[in-house]
Amino acid sequence: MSPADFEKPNWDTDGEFLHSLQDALRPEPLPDELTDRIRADWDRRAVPGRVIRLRSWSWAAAAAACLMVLLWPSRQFDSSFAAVELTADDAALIVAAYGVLSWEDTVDYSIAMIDVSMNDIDQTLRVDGGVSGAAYFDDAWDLPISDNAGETGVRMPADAAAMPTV
Amino acid sequence: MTKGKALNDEQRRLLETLLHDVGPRLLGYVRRAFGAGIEAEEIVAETFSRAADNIEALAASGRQDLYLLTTARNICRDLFRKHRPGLLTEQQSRSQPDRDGTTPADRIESREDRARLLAAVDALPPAQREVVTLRLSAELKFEEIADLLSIPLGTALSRMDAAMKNLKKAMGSENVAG
Repeated sequence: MSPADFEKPNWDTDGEFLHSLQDALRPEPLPDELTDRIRADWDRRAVPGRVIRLRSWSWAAAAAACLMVLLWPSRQFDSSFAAVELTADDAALIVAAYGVLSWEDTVDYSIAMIDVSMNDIDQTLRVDGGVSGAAYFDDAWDLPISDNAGETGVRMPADAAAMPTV
Repeated sequence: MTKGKALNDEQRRLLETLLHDVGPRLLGYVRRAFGAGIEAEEIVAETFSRAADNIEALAASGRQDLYLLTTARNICRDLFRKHRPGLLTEQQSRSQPDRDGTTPADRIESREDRARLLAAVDALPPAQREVVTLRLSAELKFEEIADLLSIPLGTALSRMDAAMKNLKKAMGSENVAG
């Protein structure tokens, strides 16, 4: 007997019997519960999308960069946040952190963060300038923010001689 | 199930296709070839889990249905070796000798007959039952069955021939007895 004999429905003189057997053994659809279980296993294995991976990685990098800026030993702190002097290394780190944030389509959010920070700086300068007077501005005189006095509301003296004494 | 190997979209699509096309054949084969003593659905789930673990090999396989059937068969055999040794060895056919000249096909019409026929398949010697289910449930060709079982083609054919004779005997004798 050859394979071809068996492949034919009527390989046997009693072909109807084979048909009945075929019908009885015909595969049925998988139960929904089983397919759900199998798919749940596959879902757990899904590779995260590229954006998600970048976001996770870049947020970690940005956080690390910000932490380094805050803890950098060369930093010089004054009595207010606005008087912080940044070294070239600090600036490079901030630019790098900003670049990472921008890379993952969070440009708007990171810009918003910077806007808030600048407002804080403006507010701090205004308050400190009003309360502490010349002693503060003497130390912070060379801050470039003075150029924005008209826009930010920061009132900087025209020259050192015009500054009030404390 | 463990988290296992990660899958990308293309691999996931391949598995979905196989689940749809091969899954029912796989379940039919496992359920019938290895009998009621085995959790066929568990075997199928484990088969697809292992397929996901070895997705590169599966994707590279020329016959992915054979790959899955082989995996399922190996899982079943491992289970039997661990828990039910000897079950896969040849057994004496439980078919009764035919005692009349009636044609079995005449009698396989009702739902009860179908149940009796399936019971007769379950009663076949395991080696014969496996060939029958691979041919009729998994819908493999005899050459493929021989490859999968690592037996000569002639052996696969003779097992099918013997299985058919046993089934006819069983159905004929049950009819007389019933």
